Amino acid sequence: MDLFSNLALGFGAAVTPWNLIYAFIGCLLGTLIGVLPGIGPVATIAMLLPATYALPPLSALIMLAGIYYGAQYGGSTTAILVNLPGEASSVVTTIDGYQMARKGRAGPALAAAGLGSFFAGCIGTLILAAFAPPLTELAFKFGPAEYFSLMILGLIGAVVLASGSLIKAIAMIILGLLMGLIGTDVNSGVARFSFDIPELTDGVGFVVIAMGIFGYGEIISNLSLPDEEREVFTSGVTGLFPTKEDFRNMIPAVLRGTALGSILGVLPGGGALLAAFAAYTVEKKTKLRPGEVPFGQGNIRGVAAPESANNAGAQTSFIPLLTLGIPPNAVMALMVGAMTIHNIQPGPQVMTSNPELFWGLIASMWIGNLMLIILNLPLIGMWIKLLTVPYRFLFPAIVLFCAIGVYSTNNNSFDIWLVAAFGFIGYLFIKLGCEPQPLLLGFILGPMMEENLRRALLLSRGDWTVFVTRPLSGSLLFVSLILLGIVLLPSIKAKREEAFVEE
Amino acid sequence: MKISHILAGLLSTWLAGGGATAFAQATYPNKVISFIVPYGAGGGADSRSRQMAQGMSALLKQPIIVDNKAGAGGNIGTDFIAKAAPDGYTIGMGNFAPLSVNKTLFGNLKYDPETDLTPIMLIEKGPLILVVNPTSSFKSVNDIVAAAKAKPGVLTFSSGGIGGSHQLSAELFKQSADIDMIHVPYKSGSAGLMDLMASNVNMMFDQMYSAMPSIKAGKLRPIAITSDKRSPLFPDLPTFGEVGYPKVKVQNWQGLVAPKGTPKAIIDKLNAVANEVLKDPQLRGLMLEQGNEIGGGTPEDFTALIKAESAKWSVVVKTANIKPE
Amino acid sequence: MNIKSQKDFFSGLMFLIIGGAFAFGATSYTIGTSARMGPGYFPMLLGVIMAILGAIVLFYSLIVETPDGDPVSSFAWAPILYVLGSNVAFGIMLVGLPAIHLPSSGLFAAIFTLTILASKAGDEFILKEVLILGSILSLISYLAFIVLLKLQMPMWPVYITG
Repeated sequence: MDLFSNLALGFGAAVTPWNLIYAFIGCLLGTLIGVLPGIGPVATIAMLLPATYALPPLSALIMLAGIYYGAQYGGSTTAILVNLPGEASSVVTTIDGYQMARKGRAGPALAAAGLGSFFAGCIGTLILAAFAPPLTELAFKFGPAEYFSLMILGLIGAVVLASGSLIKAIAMIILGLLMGLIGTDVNSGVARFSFDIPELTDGVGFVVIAMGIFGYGEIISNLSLPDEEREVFTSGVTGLFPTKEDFRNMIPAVLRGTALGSILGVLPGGGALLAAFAAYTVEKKTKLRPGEVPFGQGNIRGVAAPESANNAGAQTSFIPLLTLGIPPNAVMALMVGAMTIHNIQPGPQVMTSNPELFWGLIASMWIGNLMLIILNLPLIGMWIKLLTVPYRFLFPAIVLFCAIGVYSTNNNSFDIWLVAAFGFIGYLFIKLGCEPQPLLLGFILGPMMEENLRRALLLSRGDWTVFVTRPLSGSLLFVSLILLGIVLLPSIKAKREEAFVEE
Repeated sequence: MKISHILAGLLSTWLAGGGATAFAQATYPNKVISFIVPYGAGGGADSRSRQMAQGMSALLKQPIIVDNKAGAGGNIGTDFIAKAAPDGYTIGMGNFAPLSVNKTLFGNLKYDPETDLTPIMLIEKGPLILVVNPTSSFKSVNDIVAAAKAKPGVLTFSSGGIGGSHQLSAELFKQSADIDMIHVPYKSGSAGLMDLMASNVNMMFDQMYSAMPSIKAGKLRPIAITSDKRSPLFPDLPTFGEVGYPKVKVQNWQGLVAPKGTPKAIIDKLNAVANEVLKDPQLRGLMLEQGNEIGGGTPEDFTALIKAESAKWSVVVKTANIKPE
Repeated sequence: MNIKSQKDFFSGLMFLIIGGAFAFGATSYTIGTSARMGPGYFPMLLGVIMAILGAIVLFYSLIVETPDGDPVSSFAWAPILYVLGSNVAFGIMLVGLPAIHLPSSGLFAAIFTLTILASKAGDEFILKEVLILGSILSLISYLAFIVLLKLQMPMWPVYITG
């Protein structure tokens, strides 16, 4: 079959000693930056791009790709261990992952993330190999109206993320939306809420908010508790590996996450991100088995599903790049740069004119995923050991890595002042009982939602019915409505029960 | 560590910083040169900067470090170059928008492109191509003009953002042909191109190097090109001049610049070295393959170009009333 | 005024104020119509919604009983100062402060400054331990950031590198 001969060609090109070494370096670097809070794949790939100019094109792409999906593995590590999302898509992992760590179950959490990621990565690569063209067609079906409806679906799902007060969660989502609007408005060119500070014309960076609110806020809050009440992560560490029970719960979650991630990852503009959030929402809304921990308190499915989703998404996000030459996100845009420098015009013809490149890259992705799981599983023991370091040594290290991470994104000192401000804000949120995860989701989805809303109206010349008359958009809105019902039903039911009890 | 020690350390750092510059006057260059790119890594400006930096570094026998200072549409990096010390150790890439458009567009730039920078040399120029979806009924410029006149305010064109070369070319076209079309901005050129391929917008003026692969693969149909002469890469593609719109001539360009006040001797030396780098056949090959015209020439040539472009585009911007609002 | 839930009271207040601020700020941009939204439309809409939600939370905090009044415990000013202060100090050391012509003191000075200041936020401060921590962190940072990731950062103060 054509697929097999292509894959054979790919493996032949990828399994050379040098390319294997580059794949390993990429994966190692990716894991490292994923683990280091603050520094993300975009900044790293940008910095290492020049170093790859001297390499042959396939090797360069193999290494850079390794950094990208390696970072997805590493990002979950900090999310679980210290409640710091290394990557935007790891934000959801913090919810249950960190709670598992607090309960001494960091090992199983890390393992679940790793294994789920590996499975999803393999499936994602397979889908990339076999279904790239039809999935690209799917991506074309998404116009501005569809994106807007998808964002609405995502935001309603965001409400599900909250475990506390519903109305405060909605307010946090809206706060995130508003913060996302800071910066230059695509549709009009106006720099909104930037107070004439040039560094704010491109908005506040995700890293700054995540490090400030999640990182510093948490640290300050921890330090303010007397020693006895503080987090002692290693109290009763119960084994490094998930139990049989865990596996039974995890497997359907991983499958669901992989499916969501594979499809949503193809969509340009953060599909992989949305996939992680969507996977968590879906999991939270399925019935809990007897004996399972509720979501938000350390349910392993809350780690396995989003991690699978974001890794599957990371693989399939290569599809628009490789089939059309269109980069769907910032990392892919850098890949385009890498290809151009090596004199390869990224475009629809890359598959046919440079088959060894295309298939070699795909083969190396599978190899990379294998390397990553081999790399990450033994590391779990090391991470657990790290947590036994007394907090007074640990937290300055976290502060340092956050500061360096924030600075390295733009090489701009302004970000360092900004992250301090968000640190204070994060502490305030913790004090007032406001959850940060919905805010981050609003922050990421908000700008995309507004951009597409206005663009859809611009194209339809002010006609609002376009959102329901376009079939895909209409169906997404319909599903949103159903989801809204599912989300609100429990609280309505509870109120009604309260009313009955009082009577 | 005693407080007094820390203070002493800071004080001496502060004082020493002032003294260091006195030593730099020897033969130029005698230390590392900083090359500022106002855009992110991996893009066209960044790649070319690194190639130029590599070539110039070999000739000047000093390392040249490329520093990305992206943001605000190129304004942050360009402002950084303008405010840097004029000692020849900070130079950078000067691009189309920050140098000739942004002043009129934004009205509150922190630097003045005409007085705060000293141009060194033009590196390259590249045209844009008007492309449509292959399923579109438009086969020529006249088709589009006719359709636009029949239905004013209905046809749409995409762009990579307000005030970029994509939008400005289209505005120039609208003004020349006296038609009305709706501008649909996107966060990047690629996003705009993608929506064109999905048939969500009718057309786009895209950079040649960006549109070429899709055109060659049949995913886009080219209508006309904005250069003076036909491109050797698309010999069958007419220019706007040939189809009756000679005013629609647009080139996106970039070149080397330095802060104002950099001594003429240093500018001339950098110009000579940069021209030498442009002779490299491999570099020339890369530029020509992308459909670009190789630059070169004197600092005065580049200064004249920037001035002409500023004048041209400020008129277009004002007439089209392009304002962020 | 009987505040039944302090946390909710202040959260509601916060949302009310921030929502109002954004909505007010949005008025300086074109609002436009719902068919042709200007840059101010969405922020205004969201700001108003958030302010309303804030008001609701505020209202409920005054009438819904909670077991303990949901107190907002006192602010831990010392950790705030030291943690955030160490971050700011790191920035000043690494990049310098152009306003007073202070050039960069280099990465290692910055790391030590951060480590010392941040450690003061903890319970114990033993100088020897802190300096060792600073050295270890400097080494790790050097290997990870300078060697492996090739980040461009000044490592030593200006008067050493010239």
